[in-house]
Amino acid sequence: MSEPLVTTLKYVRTVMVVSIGLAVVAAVASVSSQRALFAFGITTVIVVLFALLTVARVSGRKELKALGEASIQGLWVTTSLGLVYLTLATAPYYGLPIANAAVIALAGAITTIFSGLTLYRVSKLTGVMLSI
Amino acid sequence: MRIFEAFLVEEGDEKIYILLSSNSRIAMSEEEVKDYYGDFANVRVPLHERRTMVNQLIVFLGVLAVWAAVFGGAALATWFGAIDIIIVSVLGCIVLGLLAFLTATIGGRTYASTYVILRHSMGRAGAIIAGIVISGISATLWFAFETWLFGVIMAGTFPGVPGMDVGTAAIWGGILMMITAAIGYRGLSVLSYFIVPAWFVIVTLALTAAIDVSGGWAALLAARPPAPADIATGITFVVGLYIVGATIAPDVTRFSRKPYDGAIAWFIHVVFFMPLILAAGGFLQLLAPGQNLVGFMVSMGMVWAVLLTGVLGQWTTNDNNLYSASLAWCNAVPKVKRVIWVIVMGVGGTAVAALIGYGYGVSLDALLAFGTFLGTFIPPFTGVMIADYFIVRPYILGARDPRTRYPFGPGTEYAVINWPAAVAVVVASFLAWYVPQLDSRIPAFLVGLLTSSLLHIVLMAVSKGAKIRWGVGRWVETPTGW
Repeated sequence: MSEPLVTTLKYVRTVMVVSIGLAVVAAVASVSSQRALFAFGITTVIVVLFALLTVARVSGRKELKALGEASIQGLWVTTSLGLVYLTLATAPYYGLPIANAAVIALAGAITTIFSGLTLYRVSKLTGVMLSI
Repeated sequence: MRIFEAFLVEEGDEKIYILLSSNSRIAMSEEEVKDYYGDFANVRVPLHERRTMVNQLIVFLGVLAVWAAVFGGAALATWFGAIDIIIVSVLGCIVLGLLAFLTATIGGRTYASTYVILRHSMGRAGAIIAGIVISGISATLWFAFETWLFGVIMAGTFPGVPGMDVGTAAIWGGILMMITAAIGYRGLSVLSYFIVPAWFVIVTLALTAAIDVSGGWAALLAARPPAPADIATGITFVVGLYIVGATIAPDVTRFSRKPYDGAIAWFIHVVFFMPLILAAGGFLQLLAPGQNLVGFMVSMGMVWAVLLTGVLGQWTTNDNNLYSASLAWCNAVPKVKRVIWVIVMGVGGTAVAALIGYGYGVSLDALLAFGTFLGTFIPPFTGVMIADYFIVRPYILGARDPRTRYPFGPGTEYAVINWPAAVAVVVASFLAWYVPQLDSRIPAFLVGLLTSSLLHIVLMAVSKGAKIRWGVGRWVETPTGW
């Protein structure tokens, strides 16, 4: 395998593992409120499913362009879904203690920023445009 | 068709791109690949710019991800209960999915925009007029309306905050929307990728929260509409909501790698996601008449989510309006680049929205009435486009191969006007305007669509049989695709 291929795979798998971890942290931080647990639990399930789907799509790819396309599409999803935690965590409707809400918002912010930066790196490495 | 190799060869003075696929070989001239107007407004989308099915799905979902669509769904609650809202939404969206599967396929086969595609069925001058009616004016009016609505949502969500009054928010919102429309399809894609997954999750969560605070699912199922109507009325209403989007689907699906990529993307987005949006509006209207999801979200403290979905959701939709308008104007006026049209139409639309916002006009009602009036004339063009590509060309004119059915590129000859199509559109437009006045249960779009397609097929068959020339005049495509 070429170096860009290996590096891209490593980046994408790392981001997906981190995204899953942060999503689980967000779900755990929301257990004090039934409404929050419902909302962020669903969001976590969606993040985990898309992250696993992305890992499955990128695994075994031998061609850099194809790997880049699958990686970028998966990374966009985690970049975007991080915004759900970030924007909803502090809503009074969910009734979360401020510390828990901060943890959830932070998890969302890290997911979005980390995925977004990796998007840029993967695009550079593979030569696949971000709008693929 | 998966193209696996492309190379340049020289034949005499001409340079030709040869594209090899698993089952065919297509020659594309070098000039055809040149893009004078920008973002392939008047030429085919070249191989290296074609996108995945996922990309087109996301762009279509970006068009759908807008508060105005949720508000549109609220109208269903006037006629239906919760279960029936789901039934009419799903059935209406299936009709839309099937209808636009056809228009989207034309885009995926020809790699050309809606207005360029219409050159063959309507004639070159006919395509100019069609483009101006379908998108050149209509889409610009909708751009102005949605920019104003953006200002209204911002002002309602952040009252008293500097820069968030209707007029000022309309100005900065309009500028944002112009940026991605000016960048082109890349801009639309990147923004849609960024917001669409979050938008749909946030709206779904906000909807369940709003139902929760409004009495729950039991109250929703028990709620009755004030003026019950039959299912057919609901289905036609749903189809009418997005019929223009179905018509201009080729503006996006021309970027398809495989012929059916865009069509499948369209079908998925409209059948699986549009009912959710309509239900979001309809359910809340049933539970709390007069209130909308934005108001609920603000009252539940989801202000940041409103800001995100309001700004970026409206942005991903309205930039598409401007984008399609700019493509239509490039097809209509020579030598003016697409980005100039984005600026001209964008500044004009934003100025109208801001002036209304600052109180210099009563409302946008007059403009919207004009836009709705023009909307009556769009389905007849859709009917001609579908009938021409799928029936007239292959079965009446003998162009069976879908890849060569609509040739484009420098030197391609078109009629100035195809009279059977023109007659079909004029007659169908009149009937679409007149018949619903006699019986309001008959939907205008259905009259327009069916009449124009049938009339076009019949007139073309008669012309062919009687050896009457159907194309009037001659127009040769220039090297820039005009």
